Amino acid sequence: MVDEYPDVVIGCVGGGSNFAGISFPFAGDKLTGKHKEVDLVGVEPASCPTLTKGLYTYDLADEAGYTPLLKMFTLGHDFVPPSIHAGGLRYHGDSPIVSRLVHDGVMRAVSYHQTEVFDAAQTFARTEGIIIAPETSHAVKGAIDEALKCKKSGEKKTILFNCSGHGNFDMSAYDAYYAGKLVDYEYPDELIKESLARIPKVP
Amino acid sequence: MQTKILLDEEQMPKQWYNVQADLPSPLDPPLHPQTKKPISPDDLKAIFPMELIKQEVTTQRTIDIPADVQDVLRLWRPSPPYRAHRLEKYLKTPAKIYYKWEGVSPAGSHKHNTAIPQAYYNMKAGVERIATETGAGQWGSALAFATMLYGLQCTIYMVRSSYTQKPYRKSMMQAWGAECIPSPSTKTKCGQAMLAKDPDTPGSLGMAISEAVEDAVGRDDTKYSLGSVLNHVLLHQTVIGLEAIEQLNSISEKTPDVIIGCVGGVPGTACHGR
Repeated sequence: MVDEYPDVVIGCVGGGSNFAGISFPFAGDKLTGKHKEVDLVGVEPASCPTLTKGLYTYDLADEAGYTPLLKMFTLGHDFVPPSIHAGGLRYHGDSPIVSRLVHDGVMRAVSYHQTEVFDAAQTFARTEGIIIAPETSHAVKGAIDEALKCKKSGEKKTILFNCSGHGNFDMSAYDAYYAGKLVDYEYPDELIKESLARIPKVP
Repeated sequence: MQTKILLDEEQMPKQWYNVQADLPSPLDPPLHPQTKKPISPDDLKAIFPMELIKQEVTTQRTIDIPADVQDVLRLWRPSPPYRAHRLEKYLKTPAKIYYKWEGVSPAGSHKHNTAIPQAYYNMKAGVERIATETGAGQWGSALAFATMLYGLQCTIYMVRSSYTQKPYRKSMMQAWGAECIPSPSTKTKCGQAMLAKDPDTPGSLGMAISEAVEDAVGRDDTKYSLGSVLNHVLLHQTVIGLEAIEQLNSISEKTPDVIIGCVGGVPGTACHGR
């Protein structure tokens, strides 16, 4: 038996549930000092960069303003993300707990464009065999990059990622990728600023 | 060379882990959208059953998973983690890569982990119908399955761009007895307003959430359910990480570099080799 414990734990992030699912028990170990060094990485789309470019503040969880105001990273509740294929990650806000942990430096976030994410999905399909969902592909891209960093540095890290779902219903997205029709879209900072200006003011 | 790590059904977690217990300071409270004052659990009663509201705010470290919920989760849990030997080889990396494969659930994603307990607690509270949103359709299909198991009706507002991209997600929800509507829709006031603003809008999760909440608030027999963001949803997902910790602990030693056997006519060492 080997007592294996990951150095890096990775999940894709839209609202935060699958990243939280894999990482919170490890975050607990980090917060309680049992494993202080574990690196917790959330991966999001560059076209909906909530954790990497959003503001940590109170905002509505929905467009119409029916929900309570949550303290979270947000791009503004009326932010309409471009129609990327990872539909599950097109959310303006994020889990208040994930947001707090990212804000406090317990977790960190990175973002990628959809073409490089589909490159990773293809690599995964052609090595491990599973055709994964576009959302999940973000986590795979994150894991591949961590593994390539190790290749450079020679470090023998243990990487764990959440392979959250299959892509059997996402083949039109793969078709678009193979047809060269995927567009990489970095949401302009000015538009983010505009929608952030419409966040309700909290005294 | 072990590829996947399987736990017995009995080793599935019996409790969820609540990270709120270990935060250095409490979370900032949710605020009422009009008064901007912290909301009380009562404010959430129109959309959630009390048991889920309690889970939303508690700082208790562990919460028991009801036996009925465990029975359903056992359909596919514990989910296997895999060692990605082939990916490692392709990348020529010295790193070890493991992935926890959540695609083994009925709808093919991690979303069932919270769909099952959410439908269960709603059923226990006497709720007859649930309204929700879905982006890619993973959440909607998971909740369609869960509500079917507990005899609840389910209406799902699916972000229009995904509805168009993934028509078979809708079919899947129908197969499990749920109704799936592209969002924004004309069924709700907020949906009508969004369509008036932009008739060609691709929709967003923020819009679909508004529609589902409006639907739930407007009917006594209906509650709202969310597939991410909220504390109780994330709590239910911790089975993934809890299992992963157990599984990585129980992994077999990889092929040893050197094999030593005693020599002297003892059978058993001869077939060892690399």
